[in-house]
Amino acid sequence: MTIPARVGSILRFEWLGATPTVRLILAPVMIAVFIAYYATILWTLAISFTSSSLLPQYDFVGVAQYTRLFGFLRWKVAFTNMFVFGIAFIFLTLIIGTILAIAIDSRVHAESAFRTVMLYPLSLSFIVVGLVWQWILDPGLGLQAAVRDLGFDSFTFDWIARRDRVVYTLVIAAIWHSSGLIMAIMLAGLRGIDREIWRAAKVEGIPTRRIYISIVLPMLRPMILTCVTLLAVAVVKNYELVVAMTRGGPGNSSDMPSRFVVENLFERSNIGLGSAAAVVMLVSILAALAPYLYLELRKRA
Amino acid sequence: MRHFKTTAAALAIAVSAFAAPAIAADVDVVHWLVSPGESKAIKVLADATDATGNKWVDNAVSGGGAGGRTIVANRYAGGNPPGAFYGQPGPDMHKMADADMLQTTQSVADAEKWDSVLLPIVSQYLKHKGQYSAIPLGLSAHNWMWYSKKIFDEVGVKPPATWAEFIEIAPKIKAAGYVPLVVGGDAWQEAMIFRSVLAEVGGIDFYEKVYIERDAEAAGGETMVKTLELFRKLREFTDQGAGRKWNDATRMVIENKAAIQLMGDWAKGEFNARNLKPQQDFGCDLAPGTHGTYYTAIDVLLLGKLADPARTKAQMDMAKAIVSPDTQAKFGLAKGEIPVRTDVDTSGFDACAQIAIETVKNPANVVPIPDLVLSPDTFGQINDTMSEFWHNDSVTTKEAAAQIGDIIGSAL
Amino acid sequence: MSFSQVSGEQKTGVDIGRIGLYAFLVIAALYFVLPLAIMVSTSLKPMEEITSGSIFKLPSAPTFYAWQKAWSSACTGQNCTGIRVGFWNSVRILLPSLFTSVLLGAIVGFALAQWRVRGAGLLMGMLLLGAFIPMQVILYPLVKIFAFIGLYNTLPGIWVVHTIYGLPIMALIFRNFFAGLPEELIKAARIDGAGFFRIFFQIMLPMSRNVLIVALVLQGTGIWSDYLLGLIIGGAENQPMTVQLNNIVNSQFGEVEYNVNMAATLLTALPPLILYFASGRYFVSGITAGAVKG
Repeated sequence: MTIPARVGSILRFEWLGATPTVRLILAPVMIAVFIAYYATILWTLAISFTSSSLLPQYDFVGVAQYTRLFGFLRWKVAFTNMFVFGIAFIFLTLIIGTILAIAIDSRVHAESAFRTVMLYPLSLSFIVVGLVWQWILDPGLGLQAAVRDLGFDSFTFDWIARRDRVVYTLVIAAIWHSSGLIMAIMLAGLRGIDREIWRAAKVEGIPTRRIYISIVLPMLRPMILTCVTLLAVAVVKNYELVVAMTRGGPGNSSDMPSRFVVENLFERSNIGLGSAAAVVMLVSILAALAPYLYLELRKRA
Repeated sequence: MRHFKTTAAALAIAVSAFAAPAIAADVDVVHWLVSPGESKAIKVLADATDATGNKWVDNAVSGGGAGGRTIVANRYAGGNPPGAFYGQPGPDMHKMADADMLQTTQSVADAEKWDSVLLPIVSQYLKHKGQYSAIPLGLSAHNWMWYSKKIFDEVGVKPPATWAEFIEIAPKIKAAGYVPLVVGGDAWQEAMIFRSVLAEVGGIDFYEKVYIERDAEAAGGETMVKTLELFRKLREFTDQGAGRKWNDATRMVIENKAAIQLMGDWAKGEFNARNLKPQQDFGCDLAPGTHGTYYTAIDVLLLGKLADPARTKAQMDMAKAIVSPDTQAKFGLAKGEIPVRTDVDTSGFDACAQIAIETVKNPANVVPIPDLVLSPDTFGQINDTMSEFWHNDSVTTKEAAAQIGDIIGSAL
Repeated sequence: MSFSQVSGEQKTGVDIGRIGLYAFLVIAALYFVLPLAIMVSTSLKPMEEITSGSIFKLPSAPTFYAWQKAWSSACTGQNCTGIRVGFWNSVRILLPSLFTSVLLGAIVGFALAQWRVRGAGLLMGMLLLGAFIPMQVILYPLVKIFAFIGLYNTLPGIWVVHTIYGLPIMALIFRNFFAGLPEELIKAARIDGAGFFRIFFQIMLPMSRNVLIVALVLQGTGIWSDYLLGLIIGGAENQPMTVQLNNIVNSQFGEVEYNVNMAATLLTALPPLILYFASGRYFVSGITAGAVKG
């Protein structure tokens, strides 16, 4: 091709393949997506290399903000918390959601009721639900007080007031919020499995547990992939959960990168630092997920 | 004769044109004072503005920093700055003024003689490069102690004037089954206690050295270590207030479960809502260690720079109306603050406010809260360190003091 | 299809197992229902009962005072007209955005799944990356872009934002569904001379009724619960219900009425809740149809 022809070909998005109609649809979408997502991410990345405080300043200070960031004890705590929270949350929600799906799949009465009860938390935003969970977990107001009133004087459940345990209270509330969705997804997966497989496995005399673990769950891998993706997104976006339940406390022991970023961007007039924190948060989550995503997406190709 | 008539007619028309009222305009105000009590106070300001012939357009968004300031920042980004927005005249105000984002109120200040009528500290902090750059609304103090008269009467001790006194009487209060000092779960609540301890240990001079002069050596030195020691001692007299909000803590004082709470003057709203009378049903005084000093926040409205001269005039009208003695009195009563002017009739203010008014009569008693002098980043970091120290016993006083010294030293 | 159906085990074994099963489910249900129960119960109590009693106690004399106040007279700043003010704004934001974001997601998902786009996996990956970005981080440049193209402070602006930012998850769902359909179907239609849109509207959409419900429910909840975008991009006249809710609930320095807060939250959550109750059955079968298969 001559050079002008090549440029024209590129501009007509012929490299996308498919038909002209499809190209016509995808091209503007890609451009809009590029602007809306990537231009903004790139701006954030650029600002993280400046000394911007209250207002954006376009001076270049290298990695000064990043160095500063990792000098903060609070950031180190928040960053670690994200992984502790993320791993516990993703694993437990997957397991609980799957077990619930298996349970519901066993032709129980009032399946519809059980299902709705588990799904509704998704519709409640955390601003007030977080407060309710705080009440439930508060040693003086909630479970501990109620159980002690019943006579069990030594019952203790004060995780939310303990610096070393408070992150797990966030996990409890987050599981409550999301496991219904995971249950629904895994349930549908279970229902999509051919009954022949069950019959064949039973004929072979394989015990139930083995059937689930060795046959059924591997077939549900694509479902699990979607679940993990959705849950990972929830980990990154847990700002409202933290603010509503613990406000980062006690002290800053339940702080999360999402809250750190927002606080520095908007309350501490630290746009440069907040942007650097956001970049680190995103890069680390994606780095953690990338191997898994690569394996899963490759396999299906 | 003919000339005279024409000239007279021309003059008459000219004069009437000058006397005609200015074109009324809107002032859209972004703020986060949304609670019922605060809304009453806002209404005072809105009514005063409307009375000038202009219109106060209310844009209330709760959530303080993350809510209102986000809106302000993004309105500027979108090219539509707000007519006015709530804030404090701190370093951020100066940054915005430098970036030419604010409308000055110097013209009103000249006409109304603010220099001679306002409290000195207000004039001092409102000026950017010699120009008044905001509308002052009121002064509010952060170093109040609210206490349960019932508990003190019952235990038979006087409310403490210093923390040393507090440590003596606290065990008795604890033995009687009450919480001596109640704190909520936010770093800024703990910070209030910290600052009053600091004032007791090092005096107001030390407070000014650390926060205003930003003396890093002093901030990391022996006095700070002693402050932190005393601060840590107080912890055993609090209870396990997991994530408690400030008003839940105030409620414990109201219900006579806790003896004292350190909180700003907005806590008065909780008592007022239950029709409790100050110094009769509950006690108020300046915080231990801070007697005779008023840790002041200055509530202001900052003005966006607008292109439309009619809207700018509306802003100036609003400035004049809000700083008038009448509005100042009404606003102060509604919000629990004290007026920024020295010539307001304050006889109607309650007993707690009278303590405040007396204290501020001497300018030397008035000290700015860190928000007015340090960047939010700096005092945010100090709060982080202080809060970590409060909750984590393995942080030594020396470590924490050194950190605070570093933070002050690197303060921008 | 459950295991016990196929296996035909002895009745006694199944009975004990099923009792255990039901016990487990009931305990799980309690865990899920507990916060909702506390919210409803608190919303029916007067404030004195809330502050003096246990959160687990049922109201001694239920009253709808809080609900009335939340709906029509709670103060959100200077206006004391409750959260109903925001209701119609939320509806006006929701309906067009929902329509366009689901439609666009379906079209893009279909294109990426079945039309041999080069680098379809990469494109899907790039889209998914977007789902991870917290909105607060990109707010400032987003506003600048929107101001530049003239959509800032407008209702259509919010529609555009919701469409673009809902695209990753929507496209993912539809792509997975359409990828599970047999290729021959589309090949046959193309041989017959049908173009992209004819196949899409006349063949694909009718088949994807269940997936549509899934997408509508997920995206609908997301848009309805959105707070930040409506607040910043929408302009003062278009503030959604969530902003009113936040004003009622989050007043930092004033008196807190917990019962009104609970009632206001439940009222705001009602439309998505109703949607979930009504579509529960479709939701699950929608996923069954392969919406989230790999």
